Amino acid sequence: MVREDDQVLSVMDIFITHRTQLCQAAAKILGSRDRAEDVVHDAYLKIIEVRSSFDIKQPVAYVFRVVRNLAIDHYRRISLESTFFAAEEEGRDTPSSGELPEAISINRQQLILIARALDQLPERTRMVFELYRMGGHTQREIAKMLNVSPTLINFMIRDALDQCRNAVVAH
Amino acid sequence: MHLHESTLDAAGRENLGLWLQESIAHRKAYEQASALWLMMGLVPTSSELDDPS
Repeated sequence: MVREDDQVLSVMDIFITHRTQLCQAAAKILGSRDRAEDVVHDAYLKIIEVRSSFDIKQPVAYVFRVVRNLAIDHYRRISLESTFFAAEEEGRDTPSSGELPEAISINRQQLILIARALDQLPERTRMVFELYRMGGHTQREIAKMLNVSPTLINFMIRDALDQCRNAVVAH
Repeated sequence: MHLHESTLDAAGRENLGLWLQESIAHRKAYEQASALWLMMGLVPTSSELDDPS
């Protein structure tokens, strides 16, 4: 087991060594260098927070993957917010205005529960979920890759989400 | 879950946007789903937990 200090140091090393490539990877998704830097910084803070909860053997791959995932999430959030505020400006029913929640704090205990729930999924469901969440593939793409119906893929992903939600709620 | 499909089109986003404006409860549900989604993404994949070969 690596000490927490060493892990923080190695995560920092990865971000320093690969900074340019990480920003490029995020910029490719976001189409903006400034936003890419924000996302890389956010990924750094989140990974520092969760790193000690897992024994990650491929930290560089993990860092790149999380940066890509967060960039995709950020991109979708921006698209949603532009719609959200556009609708608001048109003066439709707005019981309360305000921003969408952006800063989500990570609850380490919940994170462990979620990891455990994912571990308990049937192997194929877990694989499908990883392709979806971590791989950034659409359900349709996964259905094609595995040569099964999109309905089955949708069912498996719903199952994975439900299991994780239940694990957090039940606690 | 639908926001996380890259296939969510402008109409889908608008529907979600309107749904979020309907009530604070909707926004809260959205916030919880986002937190869950984020944490699920921070869990390492099986290959990231494997020893380098």
